Amino acid sequence: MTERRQSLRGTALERFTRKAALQMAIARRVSRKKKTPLDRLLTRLIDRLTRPAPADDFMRDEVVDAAIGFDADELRRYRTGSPRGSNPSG
Amino acid sequence: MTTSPVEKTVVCASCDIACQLRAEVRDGWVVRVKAHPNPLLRDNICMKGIYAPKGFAHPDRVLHPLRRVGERGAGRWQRVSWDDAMGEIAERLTRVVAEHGPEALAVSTSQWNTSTDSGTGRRFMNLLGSPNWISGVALCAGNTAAVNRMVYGWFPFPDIPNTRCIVLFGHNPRRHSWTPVYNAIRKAQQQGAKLIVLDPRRSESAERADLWLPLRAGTDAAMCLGWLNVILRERLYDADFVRDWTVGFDDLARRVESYPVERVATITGCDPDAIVRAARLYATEGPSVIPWTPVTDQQRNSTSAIRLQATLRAVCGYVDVPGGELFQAFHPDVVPESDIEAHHLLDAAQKAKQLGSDRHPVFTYRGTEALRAPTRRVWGREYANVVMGSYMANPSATFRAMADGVPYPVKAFFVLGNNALLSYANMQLIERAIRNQDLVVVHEHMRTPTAQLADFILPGDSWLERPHLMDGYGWLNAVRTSERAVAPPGECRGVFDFWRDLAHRMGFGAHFPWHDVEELYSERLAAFGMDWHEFVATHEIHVPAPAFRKYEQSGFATPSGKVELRSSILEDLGFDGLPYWREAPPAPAGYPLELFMGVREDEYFQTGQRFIPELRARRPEPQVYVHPADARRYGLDEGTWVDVATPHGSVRLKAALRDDMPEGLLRVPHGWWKPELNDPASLSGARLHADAQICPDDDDYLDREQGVPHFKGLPARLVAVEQP
Repeated sequence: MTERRQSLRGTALERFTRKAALQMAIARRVSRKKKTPLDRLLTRLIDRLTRPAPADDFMRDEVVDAAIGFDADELRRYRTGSPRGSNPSG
Repeated sequence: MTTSPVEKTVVCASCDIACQLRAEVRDGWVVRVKAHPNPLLRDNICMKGIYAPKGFAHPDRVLHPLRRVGERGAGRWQRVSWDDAMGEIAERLTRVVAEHGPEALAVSTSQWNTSTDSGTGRRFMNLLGSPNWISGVALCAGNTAAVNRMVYGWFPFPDIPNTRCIVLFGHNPRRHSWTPVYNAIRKAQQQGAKLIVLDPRRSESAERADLWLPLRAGTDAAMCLGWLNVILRERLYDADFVRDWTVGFDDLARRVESYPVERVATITGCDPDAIVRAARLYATEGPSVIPWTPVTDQQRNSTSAIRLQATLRAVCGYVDVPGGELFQAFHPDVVPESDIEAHHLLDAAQKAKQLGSDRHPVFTYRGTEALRAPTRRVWGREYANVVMGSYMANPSATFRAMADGVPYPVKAFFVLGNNALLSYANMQLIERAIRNQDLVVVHEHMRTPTAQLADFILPGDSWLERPHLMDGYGWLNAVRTSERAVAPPGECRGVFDFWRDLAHRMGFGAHFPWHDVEELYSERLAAFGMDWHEFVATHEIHVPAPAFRKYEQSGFATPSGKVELRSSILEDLGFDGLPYWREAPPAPAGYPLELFMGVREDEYFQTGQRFIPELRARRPEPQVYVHPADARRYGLDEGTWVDVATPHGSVRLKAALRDDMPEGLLRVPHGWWKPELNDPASLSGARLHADAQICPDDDDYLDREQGVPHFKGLPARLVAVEQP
């Protein structure tokens, strides 16, 4: 018969919960808008630890990596350009 | 003069995933949307967010309130002031209520505005006395939440980062669809987690899976019964958890005995050995997760299938444990939207009038009544509108009341950020329903097919133009902040402003004391000892401390206090207390194919974004996926226009030959119309292309308990045509 793995409980769960709480505390510091020097250090550390090697980085994507942006004048001209599907009275 | 750019933290609402992003603002315009630099949020961005600034600058965007002149749907509009529009709306709604009662108002909301009203829409309705609120979440996540609550009192969220096995029922997260879920699954796989995919199509996720089961469309419930048969027979379940924390296990065991693997293999079309291997992998490799999937939400056996997924989680002991499925519940320091909605203000007599609750009660007030006391006991509040899905009217029943006045007339219909005509089954009925209204108000960005049938189109703001406190749809306990990056253009306003204004005009002003949405957010955040402006200046995200196995202290929020494998609520409502499999009716003659509806295309969310040139250029036409062998049989080439028909209706689509499709199955995209067509006769192409026309909602094609339509495995046929 196949054996099943047990979900965490008891002291193992307590250990995991403490670890998760520590991770959460770090996440809070990393997510602070007004960062202290320690927050900035932690942010750099987490960034380094979580950034995959380029070959393993499945999130790379040509649309995202192109850093597509718009010019404010271009958007202004676009908005005031000819409506295509609308009723002139609107 | 060009100024230096300023960056704002925003939460994207171009789909419902709510990625936290950065908006770069220059000269009063958002000129770039980019990924957040926070390493925990990095990469959670997709093309819909990136191109959003272009969409919000579209020349056709509705910038001023418009009032219909001439016949409904004739496409003639007059610009009016907000004050005039709201004054007339209040006056006409008052007349409808005086003549037909408050239940004669129905409201449909979704996507970009859902949850940005912070519960004020339901609050208004509860004050007025109408229970008839509908939403796309009736067939997408909201209904799943309601069914999960019946089993164990909350809708759990998968702990994918710590899991060892992931099961995707037809779900296919990709780089540009459900991006954070895709990111999490790929990372978990890199760390050794197994992936099981159940999908008729060899999807991108199936290609990466350790085990792919190409099940027949719409057979999720049967597959789960087969897995349980294996898991119970081989005693692979968590016996301690089952003994201490479940009720109805013996009854369930007897029920699943009727579903031996051979029978399930016949129903699902899968190899019996593969079914056994998958069940064993799920039960022994754990903790495992079955993330939410829209596919299971939209089937004839949806209630049973969702319950069975919840049952699998429970009997294997994966509930509220690391790497399993977490009960996040309310953030302890944030007033939830459920409180703002004030469901206690709607009296029992009006709740009883909620449309559809007599025949399909699961996600209605009637269906969730028995959860009020347990929810208060465990989660501290009587009402928990998780994913907005716990107190809804049934959409089909609502449209029938609107169209035919049965069981009573609904004569006013408000549609906020929701292209209702295309968003539910049976578009023919929905159009008839809307045309039969005394008052139709649409709050929108564009003149959608639904807006074209309105009396008033009110200009809505966008997620780059409003502040937002994102509370995870009442499902997750993380709260995130979104800053207003730029002012709304023209006279665009938020949904909060709409409801507040109407409430004051209708005499409910005392219940809407907030001057603006920031004041409401400040009230919700008062426990932090700071107002919205202080909170948003200091927090991007706030998550309470993690806790697991919380049920050991408080039990489960069900009538028995345990996981109800046999549902006391469903039995009290007159349904089978155990999950089951219900066979499809025989396909009518002349419909030899099957249809899988609801492909999510990377470029679009639901019926949106087709007006954004860069996205439309990537996918200019609606496509039906066809296996090459079927294409040969029907004389189709790549790009041939075809009519795909069910007994209910027909749509015109372009054939895309895909060898990842199984033979005999067609896959149709959701929500197509062509915003560039100014053609009231075709409702901008909706009458030609919108899949809602081929979705029936009669009894054979509705789930019994929820009344949601069957979108996976409808009988269909196709015919090549000359013209688009």
